[in-house]
Amino acid sequence: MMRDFFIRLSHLGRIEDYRYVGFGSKYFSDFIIFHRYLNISEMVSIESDTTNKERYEFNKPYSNITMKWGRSTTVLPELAGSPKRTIYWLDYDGRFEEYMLHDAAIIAESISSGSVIAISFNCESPEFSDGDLASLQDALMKHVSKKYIPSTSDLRGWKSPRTMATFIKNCVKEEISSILENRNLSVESNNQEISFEQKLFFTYADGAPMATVAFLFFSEGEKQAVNDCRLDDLYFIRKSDDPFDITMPNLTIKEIRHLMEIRPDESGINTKIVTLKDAQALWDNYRYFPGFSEIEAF
Amino acid sequence: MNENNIKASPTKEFFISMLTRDISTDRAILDLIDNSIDAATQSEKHNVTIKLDIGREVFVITDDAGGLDLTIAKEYAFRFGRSSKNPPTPNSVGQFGVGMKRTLFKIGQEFYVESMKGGVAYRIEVNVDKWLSDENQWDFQYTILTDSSIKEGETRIEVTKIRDEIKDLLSDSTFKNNLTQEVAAAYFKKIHGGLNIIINGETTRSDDLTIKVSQQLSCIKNHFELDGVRVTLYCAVSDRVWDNGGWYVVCNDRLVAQADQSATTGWGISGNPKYHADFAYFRGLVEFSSEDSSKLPWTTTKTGVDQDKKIYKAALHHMSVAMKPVLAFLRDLAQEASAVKEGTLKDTPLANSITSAQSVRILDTVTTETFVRPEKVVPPEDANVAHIQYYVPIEKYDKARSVLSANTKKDVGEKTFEYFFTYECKGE
Repeated sequence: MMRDFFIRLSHLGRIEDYRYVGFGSKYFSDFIIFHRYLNISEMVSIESDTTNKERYEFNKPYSNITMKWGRSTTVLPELAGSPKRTIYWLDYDGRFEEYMLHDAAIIAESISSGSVIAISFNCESPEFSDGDLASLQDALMKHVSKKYIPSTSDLRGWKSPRTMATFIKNCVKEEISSILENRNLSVESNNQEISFEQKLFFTYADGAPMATVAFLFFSEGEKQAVNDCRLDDLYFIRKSDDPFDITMPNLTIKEIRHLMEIRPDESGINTKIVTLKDAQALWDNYRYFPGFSEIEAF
Repeated sequence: MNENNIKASPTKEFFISMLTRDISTDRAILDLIDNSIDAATQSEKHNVTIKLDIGREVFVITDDAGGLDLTIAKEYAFRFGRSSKNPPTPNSVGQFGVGMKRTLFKIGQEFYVESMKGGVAYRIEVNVDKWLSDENQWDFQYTILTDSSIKEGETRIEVTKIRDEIKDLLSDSTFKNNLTQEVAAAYFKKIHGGLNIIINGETTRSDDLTIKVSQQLSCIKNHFELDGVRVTLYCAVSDRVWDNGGWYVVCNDRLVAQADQSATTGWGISGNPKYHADFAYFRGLVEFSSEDSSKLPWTTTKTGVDQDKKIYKAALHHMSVAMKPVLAFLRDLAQEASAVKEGTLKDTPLANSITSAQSVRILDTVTTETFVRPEKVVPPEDANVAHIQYYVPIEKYDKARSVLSANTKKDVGEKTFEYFFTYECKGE
């Protein structure tokens, strides 16, 4: 889905001229996809584990990936200064922490038009005592700075990861907004004013409840080019607080094959074999299902 | 008077107490110096001398800055607050129309102002208690001087009866030292440009902001203009002095914030770290200048910046961008120092670049658009050394640090490991 989203940015400039900045870890799976399908060559992987440098260098799938060693907050200022259009995907594997807001701020301060910031984070609900606002506020303080802590006494929904995902997504949004507000005050012409729009907001489970949000940055002068990308045509685009929830159906390969053959005819589903919910989950996102095969052991 | 009228006009006493309460005496004295500087700007006079004599029973300020025109004095200078009809003073440092009055009311019960401009010498004498006693009369009286020691272009202000609560302060040597330091800092640009400020017979030396530059180490300069305000900013490194590190904010050549290390100047916000010891090398200077001083982002006491002004918000963005590469350099410098301490690094190109650089005035230096710095040397990986990183609640960390008498997190980590190893891994 991310790949299809990025492909559409070609109205803003050649995708192969973009730079990709991510956290490749030892597997570099996102780097492989973006090099293979988007043909991006300039790629930077930020890695804080500086004690195994050789191992990371060894696992790099392409020599054109540059490793930058250190925590994202210390490495990003150096990268953010580049005028190059960039896709940043900050795929944090842990719970959201305040430094992640700083990362977004650092990038937003200098990001070029046509660039994207995507952030993935664990959105487990905060641990707090039922009905206790102070306890909820304390719990949230572990994740974001004080200025974002809500003072509302409405405690409904906070046990749901979705509420947490939306809350954090909006904190990031506000952080970026305040940076751009100051940045735009001294631009030389209106055409250089930078705006941003939330385009993706996924929730999914990957061992833990996770969320990914992506924001597209564009100058006033490139607004038309952004419209020409027709990003909003993609069915999974989410610009509001309502996330696109990716659920994995519990189906066998034979069931998947059958459901694909009859799609989209719901009346053909044998509900004694598969549930309507699983069938719908498959039909919603079948193009993005991971490819796998079963080994028949008989 | 209309019978249904309800009186809402302020009493003079309330007005004066409100006016004088939120400014310290030393900063109030700086307001008088501002007035002299504005007179010099208006008369286009250079190398002006401002003399202050301050003691338990004496408070006199004299200048040869051009004098205060009687018409201006009659119509505008002694009014509380600036009227929109005031003739403009381009590039002035006085702006709110409160400075001189606020200072004199704060310090004195009786004072006079004498000045001569355009051949007219006059004296305004004020007895504050007497003035306060008549609620309906706000104006002061002046007399033309025919036989006075005051010369053309000079102004003399003397507090003839100092308030009792101020007398102790004015005779205090610490107060005088602080005042001298504040004057040296606040007018560092003007003093360097030829302004002479003499306090109790001693000429104040300019408290210049110096930085370290060389071929390897540069000073970033950036500028922009917005709504008639020109903003110029500089970022560089200097000697490591905790109190001197931070941002210096100047409005029309007057320093309004010195070595600011708070979020007001970008520390701890917009992805910048909070100020700490590793950043004590940092020096940033941001100058705002405008013909119209009301557009400048200063507070009425000129002891800080008005963060809500659009021009300041715009500058804060540029400050934040400019400081990032310098802070990255200082982080690398700290890492270099700890690698040397651990014995994993011998070369110190970053520390050398600072020690070998020349100390120069920040305003005289050659600048670059981007920060020029030497490359850091990465210590070779040591296969025999393991790196451990873990998180603990801050309360527990503080307790352990105190028990271990350790200073840093690194010390706490090493000492707790040593402790465990000594007792649990003996003979392993």
